Amino acid sequence: MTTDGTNNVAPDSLSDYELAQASARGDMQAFETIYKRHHRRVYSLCLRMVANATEAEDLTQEVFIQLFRKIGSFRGESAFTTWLHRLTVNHVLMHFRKRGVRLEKTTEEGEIGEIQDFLQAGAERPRFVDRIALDKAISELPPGYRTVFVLHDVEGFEHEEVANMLGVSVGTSKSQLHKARMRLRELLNKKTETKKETKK
Amino acid sequence: MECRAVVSSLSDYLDSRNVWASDDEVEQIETHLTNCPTCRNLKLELSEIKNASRELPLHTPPTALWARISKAIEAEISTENGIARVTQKASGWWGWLNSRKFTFSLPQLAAAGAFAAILIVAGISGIFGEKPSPLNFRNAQGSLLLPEEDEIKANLERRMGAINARKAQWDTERRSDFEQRMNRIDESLKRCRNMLEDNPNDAGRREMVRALYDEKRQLLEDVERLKW
Repeated sequence: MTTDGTNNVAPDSLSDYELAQASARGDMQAFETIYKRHHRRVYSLCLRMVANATEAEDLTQEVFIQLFRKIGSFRGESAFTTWLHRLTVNHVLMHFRKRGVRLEKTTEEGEIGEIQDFLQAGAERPRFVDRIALDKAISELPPGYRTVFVLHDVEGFEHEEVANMLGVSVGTSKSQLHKARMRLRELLNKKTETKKETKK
Repeated sequence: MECRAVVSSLSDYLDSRNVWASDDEVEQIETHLTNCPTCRNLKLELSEIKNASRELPLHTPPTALWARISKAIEAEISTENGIARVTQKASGWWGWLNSRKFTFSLPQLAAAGAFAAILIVAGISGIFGEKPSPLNFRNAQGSLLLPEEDEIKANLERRMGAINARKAQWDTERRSDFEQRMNRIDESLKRCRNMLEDNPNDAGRREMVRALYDEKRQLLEDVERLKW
């Protein structure tokens, strides 16, 4: 570290805010430490939202380049992670808009179809959710459901925030989330049944 | 309460049962869940999905990604330094101009005064003259547009014309890099404009179109500053 106030201090021991300040002064070592700390979260968020590894890599690259440009505007009023996540989400949503992905579009079947399927299937024994299977199932959701689910359930944004980011009503955000969870449940059950059949 | 109604409300119930306006509705759902094993199991499953989603494994991008990012940032920094040098050069020229002492004869001053008067008259007619309404979202051809789009387009075309005249002198790599970037912006712009025409009330898309025009302007400005 060669920057003021952080001389001779190992970058790893600095806070995100200190690293951000050093990066804003052009310290690439500080910025690399920020990358090392946060790249997995950013990449995972991109990957979950776009469900495509190559696109997620490109987006992660763009997010960190944008972060480097904007890092001087981070004032430490909120947690750096929150700020970076908001930046990432906005960037991915911008990418969706450029690509013309319609987030408001639902799947071919509506909520009624899903409720009927569930009622016809009857009671099933609940099981612990396999996180890897859940991760895979999220990537199989239609973009509109997936985006709301990732923002609300995975990243912890409130419905008001999700609605604001996507330009939809709170009611739409809630209904997309419910449909997403119902679809995930269906996908997870299918995966379990396939596993059972393979074992037989 | 019927299963169908409970199923529809389950996610909302799981997320905000403590802040629901109607305690009565919560009570009805809870009574139903006590008596209906199907809905109870669904509630457990949805709840598990919700909880598990906060603890999903993190993915790791390829290790080469940092090399790509740092290379791109360093390239950007060196481009900015290039721009700064060009600006510095310009400010040097401006400084030289300022430091000069000029003396004018009476006819020269009269000519300058007449020229200034013409500029003022042209400016006033520009301000008070007929202008397209900012609320008019359609051009002469009837396609849906941003209010300021004609002006933006004219500006970009003028700049593009000057750049096109110089492009023949560029090397192949520079030309192809510029054209690729320009094509990428143009394609996105075309797609976003089409979508805006489909849904003129989409404020987000309108902002996107503006952002893309801005990106295009930025690219042309960079080329101009670098004196390619």
